Amino acid sequence: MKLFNPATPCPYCYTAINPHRLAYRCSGRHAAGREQCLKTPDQARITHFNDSDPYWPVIMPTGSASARCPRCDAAPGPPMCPECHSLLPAEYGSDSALIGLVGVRQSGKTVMLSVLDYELQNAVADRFDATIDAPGGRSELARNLRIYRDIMLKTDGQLPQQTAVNNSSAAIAKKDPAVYAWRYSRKMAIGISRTHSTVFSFYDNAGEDFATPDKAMSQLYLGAASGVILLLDPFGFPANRGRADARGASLPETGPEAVLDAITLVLRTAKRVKRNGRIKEPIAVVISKIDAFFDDIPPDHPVRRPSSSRPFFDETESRTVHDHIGAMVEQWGGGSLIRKLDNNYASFRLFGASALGAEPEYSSGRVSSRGLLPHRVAEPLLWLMATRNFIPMTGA
Amino acid sequence: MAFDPAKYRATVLAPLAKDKARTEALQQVIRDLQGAAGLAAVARLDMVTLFAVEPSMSAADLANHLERLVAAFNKNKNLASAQLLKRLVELIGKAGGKVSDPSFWANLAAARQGVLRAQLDDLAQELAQEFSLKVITPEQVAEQVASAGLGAQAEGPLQAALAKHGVNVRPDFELPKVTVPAPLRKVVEFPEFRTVVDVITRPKRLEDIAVVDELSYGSPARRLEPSDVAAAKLRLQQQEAQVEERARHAAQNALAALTQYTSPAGLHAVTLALLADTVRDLLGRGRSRLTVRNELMRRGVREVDAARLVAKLASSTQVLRSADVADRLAAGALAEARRLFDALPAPDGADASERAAVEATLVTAEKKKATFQSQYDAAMATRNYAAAATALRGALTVDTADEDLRRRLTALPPLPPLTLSLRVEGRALDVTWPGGEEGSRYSVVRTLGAVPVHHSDGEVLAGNLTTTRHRDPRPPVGRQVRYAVFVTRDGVSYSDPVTATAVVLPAPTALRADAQADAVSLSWSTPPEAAGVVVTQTALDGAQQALRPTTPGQLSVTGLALGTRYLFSVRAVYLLPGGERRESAATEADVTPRGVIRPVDDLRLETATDAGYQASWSPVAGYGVELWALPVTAQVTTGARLSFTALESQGGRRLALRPAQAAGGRTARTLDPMPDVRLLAPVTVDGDGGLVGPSTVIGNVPSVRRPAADRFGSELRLSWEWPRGDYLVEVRWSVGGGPRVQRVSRAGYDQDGGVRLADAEAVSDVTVATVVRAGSREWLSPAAVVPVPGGGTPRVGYSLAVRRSAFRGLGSVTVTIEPGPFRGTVAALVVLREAKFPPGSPANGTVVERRVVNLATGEPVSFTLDLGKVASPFWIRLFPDAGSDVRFADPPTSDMRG
Repeated sequence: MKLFNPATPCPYCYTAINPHRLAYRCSGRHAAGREQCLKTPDQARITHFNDSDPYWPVIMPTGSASARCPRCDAAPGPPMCPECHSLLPAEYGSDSALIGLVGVRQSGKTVMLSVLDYELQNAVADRFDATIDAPGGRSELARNLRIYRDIMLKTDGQLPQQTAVNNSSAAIAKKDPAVYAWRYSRKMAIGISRTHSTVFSFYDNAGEDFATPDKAMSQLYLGAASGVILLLDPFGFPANRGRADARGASLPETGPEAVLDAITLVLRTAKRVKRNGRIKEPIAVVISKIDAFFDDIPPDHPVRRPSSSRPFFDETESRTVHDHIGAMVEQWGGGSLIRKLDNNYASFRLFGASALGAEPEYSSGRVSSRGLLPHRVAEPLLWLMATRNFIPMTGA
Repeated sequence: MAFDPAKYRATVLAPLAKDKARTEALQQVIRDLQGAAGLAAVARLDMVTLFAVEPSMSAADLANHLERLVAAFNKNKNLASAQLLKRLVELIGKAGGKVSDPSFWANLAAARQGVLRAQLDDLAQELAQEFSLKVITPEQVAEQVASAGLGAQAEGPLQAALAKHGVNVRPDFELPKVTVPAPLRKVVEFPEFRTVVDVITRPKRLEDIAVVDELSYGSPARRLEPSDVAAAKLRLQQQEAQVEERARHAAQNALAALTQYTSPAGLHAVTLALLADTVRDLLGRGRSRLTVRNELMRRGVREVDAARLVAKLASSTQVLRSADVADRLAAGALAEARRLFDALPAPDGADASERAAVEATLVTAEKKKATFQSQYDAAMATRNYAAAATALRGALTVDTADEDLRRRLTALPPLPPLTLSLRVEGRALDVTWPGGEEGSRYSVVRTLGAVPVHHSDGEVLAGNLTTTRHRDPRPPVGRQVRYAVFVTRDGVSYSDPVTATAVVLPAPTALRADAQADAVSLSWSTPPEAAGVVVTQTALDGAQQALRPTTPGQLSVTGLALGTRYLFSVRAVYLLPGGERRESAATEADVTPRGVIRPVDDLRLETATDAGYQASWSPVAGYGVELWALPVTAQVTTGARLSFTALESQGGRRLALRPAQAAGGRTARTLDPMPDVRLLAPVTVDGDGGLVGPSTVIGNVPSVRRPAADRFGSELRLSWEWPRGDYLVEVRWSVGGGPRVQRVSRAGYDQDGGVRLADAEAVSDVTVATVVRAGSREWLSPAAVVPVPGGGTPRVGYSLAVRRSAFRGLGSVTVTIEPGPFRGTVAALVVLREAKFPPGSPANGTVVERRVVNLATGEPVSFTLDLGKVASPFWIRLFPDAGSDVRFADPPTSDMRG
């Protein structure tokens, strides 16, 4: 079906667009004898991102990379989304992914994204000998993630503030996601290397946005997501309340099952899943703040083992962690959550991760004075990329 | 047609924001909309234009259009019009108006027509009363439409409504600028001739004569032409007896004058000009506009033209009254006031007293002017130009328009500056004076004694100066010199001089004082005119001593106290003509005898009892010594002179020193302990800096805090709190007895998330120490030992071979326990769980076997268990039994699952 309808979500506005029929702007390099076009505010940019900067005019009709500007006969500029007029990275194609990062309030989504942003461009890029960067640098979220990490690394180590709530569907469109382009050379069977590239983007929402199914339904971008990373606060499980109290950590207002219910409703609706069917999009369920349980986990336990540094995704290791985390979740009183995942999702995987790597000062909201010591932060994303066959997998 | 926000802003929002009347109308509608009027109030506005709604729009189009309109309002929120329209559309919605319904807009347009008609009718009625002459220009119509907040399209309907109320809309016109011949003015003084037209058409007396656009009469219009003038002349000759003689002569002269106009336009122009003069005269006499119009009509002028002519001239013609004379007097226009007063018509009743008062004021002013003129004449007779100028200026305040007074004032020689200041600046002399009237130029003349009598009597230092300052670079020294300044306007007539005298006595220059331990060498320069110098030495206690140098330009003073400050002042002595002795101002230098400055090169540091330091050094005679703490990376060269600013810019700070017990003639001070490693530099103070002596490193390298080691699988993760500052940390550890070392930076630590050591079980003896580096030198803090989590509970591995028969569901497992380095006995629990995930504890499943296994030999031990019928998936996992101090390392979960 994809062969005939290759619509892929735009990494910026999530509108399903045909990668073969993109829009182009006039490059401004007018032909001899023609008057140069004028830059004017672009209504699409204003509508989607409140961006009132002047731009070269869009070449109409859209869809042809060879069309020249009808006014000044200039060659077209780089491709862009025909809906929101965002410049698309060269890596954008039909395999590009939009990944939703969702979780309850205070589950650590923004911290996780900040650390993941750095890990992607360093440890993960080293591991896969890849180039992973945020193209354009215009994204407010991508820029903020770097700022958050810098602040956390300073002496006072302040954790980021709570992400603002989106109260309207219009407001959603004003927040642009963190977009990444991944390009690397993949070794093929007979020693041939082939360049693989893709684009994926994260959208950071406020935890309150998933507090109820009604609010979650307004998170339209999830309908375009090709994978979801669900962050669960371990202190939200019944058996861990005492541990949270003892540490002075605040308890999440929304339980893990409630947020899962909300996301499931959104995905079932958006993906038009049949009553007895299961959601095909993979969901990586991450138990965040796992460092709070290191005291109870032996050093050589799979959950405490560091991420592999080998250039492929180890499915056996991942399954082992999945099984152990599943056992832990069941012991914490999350059996119902597991059953819901099992019955609603064709593919889900459990992870244990910690963006901070050491328990913060819960009362003051500061990072451990030893700094950021992230643990297995990139594994959920790598699993999603492996399920899309973008990175090689072993042990499957 | 697609909505264009830019065009909407340009055509609707921006013009509306600038149109105050329409904005007020919009505001009123918004107020009424919220009041009793409700939605009906909206019909007063041209809503279709304001919201750029097109009749062809469907409901969907309207919804989309309004959404884009609101976006345009938001984008242009800086415009008041956008905010008002946004508010309006919101209120309409609240009032029940269905703005997305095309019928709403159609009904609105229909209602709008009715409201507009009523508005226009009201306006026309008001204008009919306002414009009593019943004539109005199109420009005035447009102005009224705009001020009523109506669009330009309402001008046509308003004209129609005005016509219903008898008001004629006629264009404005230009009055001809032609000179009216005197015979024409004369002839209309005779009652036989109301206008020039009567002269031409006599004996007929025409009515309804058009005079503004053309000179014609009757219907169809018949224009008067030059040929009519010739016919009139002929008729007058034939009918001489019928006209009174004087009137006939006047008519003949008038007709003769009219013959020069050879075109109908010329005839029309002179007739209209004469009528205009008549109207001006009547209006100037205070007649009302309607009276003047009726008078013109009595003279045969068409009513509408009479009204147009009166309306045209009414706005520019004023009736002159006594008050106008008073105004002229107040403005200082005496002559004009007199002329106006004489031209005033005879007073009638109430105006008589006012006229008398004005006349008295006028006479007083004239007397005052005459007095000033007398004073001027008297002053000129005595060449007192200042008094003459004062008198003329006084006269001009009474009669500002009297050009003769002004000319005479200009012709007076300028007044000299009031003062002249001389100031000696070293060898030069500055001459300054206050500026005079605009356009004045100045000449500066120098003489030796006598006052110059004219501007070139003496040495002319400068001429034609426009500034009020002159510097004489080489005035005579030791002589009384006179400076004079003359003022001129035209370079011909000069003022009297203003003068001042001065004696220039330059002080000694280039005074230099070189101090030795107990002596000072002074040197200076004096002008050759100086006869000698006087040197005064002042000590700290105020005691003064006059010194007489024996060698010109230098003096050596001995016997001074080391480190004591002295003030030396040197004055030049001049002998003036006549033998008078004068001294110049003093040139001073203060100097402290002291030894040769040198850096401290024998700084000694010892640890003090309070954890601080005691520093000592040999004193530098006459100089103070400070100790500065700098970063170890600071660049300070021994013996170099560095300013305090330069030291501070390298991160240095002056240390607080406390006196300490000194020995061996050394200076001793104590200082606080250093929080970290610092470079200690002695500075011999000289002015705003000093000579830097050899520096010494003191202090302690700060250690890392709270080091920790955590095992993560086969990795050992080290982490700690970094000290503030730019440091490296050296990590040392042993692996199998072999020492290892690694240095990490803060950036590397942050990138890797701590320091991660492989082969964690073999790692021991971990220490971390902070490293401070400066060039090739480095210092380490004391090493902090990092406790490494030991192996703790011995670990025992195991593998599983889990099976389940496909048909009967019978399960079995073969367990192989691998002791690894462990030797001893293990009590193991084999736990079965039939669930999606493996058991997390023995209580989380079913213990299917308790077995004590002897691993003393180091060989693996295997056993097989039948599990009976089991549901898939099921899991097997080993746990140590109570009392068994080992832990089982699980195999991959894929091996545990059946």
